[in-house]
Amino acid sequence: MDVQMREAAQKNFEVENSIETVDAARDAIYQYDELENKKILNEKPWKEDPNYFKHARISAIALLKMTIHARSGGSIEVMGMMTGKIVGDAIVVMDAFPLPVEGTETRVNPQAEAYEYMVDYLSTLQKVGRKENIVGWYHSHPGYGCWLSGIDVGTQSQNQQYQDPFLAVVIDPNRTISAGKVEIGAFRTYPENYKPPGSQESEYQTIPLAKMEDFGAHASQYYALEVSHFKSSLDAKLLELLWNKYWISTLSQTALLTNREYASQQMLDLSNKIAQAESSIGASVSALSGARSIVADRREEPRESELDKIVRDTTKIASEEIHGLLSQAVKDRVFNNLKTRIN
Amino acid sequence: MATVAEAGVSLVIPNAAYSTDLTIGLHPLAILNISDFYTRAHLSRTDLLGGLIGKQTGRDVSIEHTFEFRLADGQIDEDLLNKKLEQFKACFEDLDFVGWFYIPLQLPYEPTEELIPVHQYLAKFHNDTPPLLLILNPSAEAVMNTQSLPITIYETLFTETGKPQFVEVQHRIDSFEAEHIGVLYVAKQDAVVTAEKKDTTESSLAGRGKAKEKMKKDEAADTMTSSNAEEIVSQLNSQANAVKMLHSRLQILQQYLDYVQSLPDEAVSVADLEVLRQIDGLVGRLSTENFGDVAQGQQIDGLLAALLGLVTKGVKYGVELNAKRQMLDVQRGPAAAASTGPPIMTERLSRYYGRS
Repeated sequence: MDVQMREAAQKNFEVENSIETVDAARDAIYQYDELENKKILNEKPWKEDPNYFKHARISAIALLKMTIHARSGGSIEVMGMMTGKIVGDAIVVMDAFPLPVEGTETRVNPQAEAYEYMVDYLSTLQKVGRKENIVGWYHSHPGYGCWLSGIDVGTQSQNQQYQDPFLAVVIDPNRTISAGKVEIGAFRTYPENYKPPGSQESEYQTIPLAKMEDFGAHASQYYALEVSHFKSSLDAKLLELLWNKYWISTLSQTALLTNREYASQQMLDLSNKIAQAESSIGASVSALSGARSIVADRREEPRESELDKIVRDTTKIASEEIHGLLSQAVKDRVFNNLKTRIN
Repeated sequence: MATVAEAGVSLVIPNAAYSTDLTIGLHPLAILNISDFYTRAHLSRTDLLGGLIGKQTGRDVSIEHTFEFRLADGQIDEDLLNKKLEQFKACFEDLDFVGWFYIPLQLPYEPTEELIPVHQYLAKFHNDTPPLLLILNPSAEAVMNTQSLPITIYETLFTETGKPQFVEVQHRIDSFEAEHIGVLYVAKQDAVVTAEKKDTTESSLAGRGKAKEKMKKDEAADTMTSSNAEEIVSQLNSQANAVKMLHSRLQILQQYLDYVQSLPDEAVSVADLEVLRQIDGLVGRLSTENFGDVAQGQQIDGLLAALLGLVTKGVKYGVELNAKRQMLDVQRGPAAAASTGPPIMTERLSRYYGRS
């Protein structure tokens, strides 16, 4: 069959089955509408309402790039920038790129070191037709959860003052591997002296003792956005096809081995917390003697919730270990002891 | 480089004529990057091409990142290319330029004459040796109705005519642990992560004081156990799928072996000796070791962690019980409320209950 015939056959096939590898509706998010974007940048609806942005939509490749970069830093914090656009009350992150900056938790505004790199990189993006602007920054918290530290809050507040709209994203690569799912959070800070509406209760996170204070002190200065992901139709198709070659690495992964250091750190931290809790339990119990029942009632609360937290931490560690063991058990059943089983 | 106006002539040599010792590990991020480029740009540009960044150790090449080229007047913008390579070096020191990719928009979806000038030009960024060429076939038939990725990677071979020809090289999929988890996560249809800070304005209507506290705690506990359950289910699912794939592949091998066995003696030479040798090698590599000690050690560690969780829970209940008991004692009188702390708590508890 020569080339022209093949071409004709292909065109026929496509027409008959109206197959498109790019779905106009579903992939509309990939179109960059300059006018639309200019309009919303002029209106700036987020200036009046600090809670304006409620959603963060992150594309598949942005997520992968950030996760891989975070993991490649090991136990050192790394950071990068994200490009994208605004759609309604959502910040859409289309792509991300790393910055050659390390140890980002030691100073406010670490991106200042890499301004030249950033501007350079942006110009290269513009040249290949990617017209999106920078919409935020991401950095990693290896092993200690997705939240904003005091320094992060400082950096993000500055960003929101001078470069709004801006989003802060945090990734924990260690937890990602040990839990088997991506640990990611998206945040925006409140302006100073702003009281958030209603009491915000955070879903509990396991945070190492050393960082607990930092977390608590600044927890009310920012809020989290709902994170969702998207991918193009071609991405989806390729991912489906990828599975045909991917199942090998699924079977062979050894989460327990790769995360051994992280797991032992968790245990150590847990033991410190228990020691702390033990001393505080002793103290408040002796304080109870002679106290009236009402007072005892109130003092009961903090002691209980501390133990509660410890229980949750241990359960989390235990479940992560069990997760790792599950895959080991599967491997064992399938591959080991073949001689004995054959005989 | 001229834009591809008509279908060119394919320059691919069929594989049987040449075998290569090059092994390639392709990362999913690179695949998704190229696909993203195509989705964004396929309506506006006629030429979709860019560079591949990875690592080459000996004859094994890994392809990890990609970036796009810009064409100015039919020439590749060299400044941009150099700048991009610099930027990648700044962030990832041990990665280099290993090849380039091209997305053809019409038949044939293979390397043609038009690509040769670009190919030779790019050799100078690759230690003056011809780089790898990756072709993504975006046509509907390649993507929709097949079982394998529409990606082919070619190595260059110089024939007697002096013109380069391309030979397909098999690739495998490599991924870092984090990349692996990210890809599985993204591949799930509805990957939605709910907000970490829940707005509790609705639950404030439901009750006041302690009742509200308890309800929130219950809700939190519920979501935790159900999300844990979901995670385990999805992990088991993916493991089950992987095992099924393994099983189906093994079945194919077994069917082939049965067929060969059933052939009458004279026709046995028809059997592909190469394949049989590979199967034999595979079986030989299967482990007859027990790994008993190490596996047991791991299991013990994991179960120990689980036990720790249970014990801590038990301690918590014990302390709660003690606190409640103390409240009762306080009501009865200050003397009875004196307590000396957790160490002898259980003893006191047993005496208390023994007494009543």
